[in-house]
Amino acid sequence: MIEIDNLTFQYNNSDRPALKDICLHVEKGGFTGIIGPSGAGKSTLTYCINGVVPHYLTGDFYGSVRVCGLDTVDNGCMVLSRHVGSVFQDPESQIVTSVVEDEIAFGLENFNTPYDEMEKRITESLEMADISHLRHRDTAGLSGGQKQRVAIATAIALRPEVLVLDEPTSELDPEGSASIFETLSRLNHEYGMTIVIVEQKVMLLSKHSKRLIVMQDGRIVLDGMTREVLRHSEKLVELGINCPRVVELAGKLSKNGLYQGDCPTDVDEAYTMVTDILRRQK
Amino acid sequence: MKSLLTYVNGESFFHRLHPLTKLAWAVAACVACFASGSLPFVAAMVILCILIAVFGGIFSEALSVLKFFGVVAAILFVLQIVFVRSGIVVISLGGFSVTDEGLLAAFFVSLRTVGSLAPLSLMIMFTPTTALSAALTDNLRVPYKYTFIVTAALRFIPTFTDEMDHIVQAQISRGHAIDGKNPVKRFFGILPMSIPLLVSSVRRIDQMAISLETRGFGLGVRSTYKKQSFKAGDFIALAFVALILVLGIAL
Amino acid sequence: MIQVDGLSFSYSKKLPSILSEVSFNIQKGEFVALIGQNGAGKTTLLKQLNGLLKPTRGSVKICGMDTRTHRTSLLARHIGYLFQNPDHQIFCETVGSEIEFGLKNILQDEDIINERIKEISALLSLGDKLDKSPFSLSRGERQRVALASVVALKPDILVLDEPTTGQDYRECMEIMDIVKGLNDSGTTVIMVSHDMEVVAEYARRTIVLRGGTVAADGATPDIFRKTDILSSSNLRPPQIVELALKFEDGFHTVVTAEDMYCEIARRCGK
Repeated sequence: MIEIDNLTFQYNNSDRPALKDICLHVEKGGFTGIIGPSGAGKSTLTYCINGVVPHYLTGDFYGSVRVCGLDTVDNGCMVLSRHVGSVFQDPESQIVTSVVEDEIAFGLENFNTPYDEMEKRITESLEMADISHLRHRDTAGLSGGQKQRVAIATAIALRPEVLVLDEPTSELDPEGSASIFETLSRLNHEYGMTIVIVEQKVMLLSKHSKRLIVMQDGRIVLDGMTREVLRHSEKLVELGINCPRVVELAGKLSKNGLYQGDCPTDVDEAYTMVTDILRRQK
Repeated sequence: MKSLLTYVNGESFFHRLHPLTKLAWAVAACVACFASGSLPFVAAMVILCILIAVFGGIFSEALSVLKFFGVVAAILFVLQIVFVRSGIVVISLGGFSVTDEGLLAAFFVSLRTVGSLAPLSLMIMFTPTTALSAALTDNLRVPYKYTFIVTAALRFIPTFTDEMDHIVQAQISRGHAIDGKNPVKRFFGILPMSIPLLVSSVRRIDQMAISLETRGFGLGVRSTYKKQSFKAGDFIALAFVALILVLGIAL
Repeated sequence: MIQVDGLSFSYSKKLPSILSEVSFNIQKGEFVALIGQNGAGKTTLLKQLNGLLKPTRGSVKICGMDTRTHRTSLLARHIGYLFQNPDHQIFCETVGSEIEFGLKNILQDEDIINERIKEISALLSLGDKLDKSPFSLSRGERQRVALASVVALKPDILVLDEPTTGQDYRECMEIMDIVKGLNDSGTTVIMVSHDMEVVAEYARRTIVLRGGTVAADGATPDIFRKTDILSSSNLRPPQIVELALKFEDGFHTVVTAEDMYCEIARRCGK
């Protein structure tokens, strides 16, 4: 679905590459989370998938990026936008109209979609993003979480195979963030949409994403199944990543010789770990 | 703070009118108010606006816009009183006097300001921006790029007023005395705050450009979701608009 | 230090009140977190504290001054307010002049001002950035500049509205450690946060707001154990507390991974 090979990219007017020698293959139907400190190149990586790099944001581009079989250097954003839906950090600056259904229609209008087809797609994408009840609402009166789900609906109305999201929950409260992830999980499970998401909230990622990629200084430093990656608690702490507190706890326990087993990734596993430790002592 | 000049959702007769009908009314009412030399006519136009707001179910929203115009009108009112010196003196306070002609002129100018600006704002409050841009593009053949700029600008007004609010509060909170009583001091205190507003706007616009890029903006031929046709109500309204225009110029 | 007494607030008579009958006292040197879902009235309450909003009923007193009779710009010497988005605060050409801006409002002597700038920039590790434009810095650094310009006035009380939003974990820790340092040296801190881990790790007292009223107020470890109040406020306790509550004794007052580790080590006789 996404094939990135030996990608190095340096923005014009920058003195060092934002991405260095990235190799990343994402399968159809995956749910991939990308984490890392700010300045690690996470946003740039998403821009390379939706074609914003190198078409809108320019620079020196080495290596190759193929999305749904299309080379992103030969195909512009517009062509790619039928295959890759994009959602960005700031909900405010993605919404250009005053009514929810108009916002979803906007993208379809740009592609000269006939009226009947638009009607169908709007209903369908609102349903998929679970916001059918917001169809006739004013965009200005929506909460941040609702605005981001409108942005998701807008992207999926073009029926992309991949959805790329760049920190969509950074401005949202816990409830709004959770609602975004539930919508994404639904799109992934029920509709088989491939999801790639950059996110700081590791707790939410650990619950929803199947694969986790850790970036630092333009490189991918860890890549694997979410649970496997989270077990590298020491490495994560060293990179300055906010790992789940049970992972941090397990790290402390094993460092001091109280625990040797697998690192727990959720509360239930941690419970088993702690009861084991306490039972052994008695 | 409530934002001025945004579309207010509703199902009234005025909401359902064709955007161009409403635009025609706004332009005609504006021209009529300026062309007319009759105080009663201009006053009637202002009352008409208020009635339309009431029957359109947007009175409370319109009231905040009206308050804003009220301030502008009040400033003009004072200026007129000060500068029109002819006529009979009605009130005299020390060295300062108010004449009957001055009062009349002040009344006229303030009403004219409200009467010419209010229809335009009402039109914006009754019409979704996308419907307006679609009508301009489809019926008047205005290139889509231009109508898009207008609709996007209107869409961002509430965002920017919110942002300005935050900025002013942030500055007061760190001891910048722009919450005092002196309006001149307040004005000059607020002036430099336009820098953070500008910076965040540029950031927003940059983000928006990227977002538009990924949604196929500017591909060329585009279709329209909300196509509206002229109905009977529009023709009646347009006839009324023509009447206003004629009356305004004649009186 | 802060006395909030029967505070109610609404933007106008017609609109429903956003805060109703809120009362609490905060003593000098406390570190208080204000939690609750969006729309619970957290930011509105913060703005009441420095007089950006005035009570409809009841009163708010800061260091003995009633907010209704004192202008916000004067209260600013006693209560510093850090907004969520640093870009709303910053507008000077250099980091140095940004810190200087607020100081000029309260101090005259240039030597004292320069001394203070030096001190504050060292405290927030901005010493090498004084001549740089704030807009060339990262979001985390801009947040530090905004904090520096507030802290420079040496307020008795520091109010923070979601200080860690939009930052990565390391930047978030940097800001919180600075705030903790200020608290240790006597500054009273009140913070709104959505991040329960941050609340658990820094705040000693927590107030839960729900629908404009105080739903709970107490020591952070106790508040996080009131699961019924939290869930009815759409909040979840930190992961470690969820873990602790699975045990019969609830692991007493444990709220952080460090607490939990120490308690397990103690029980294992280490």
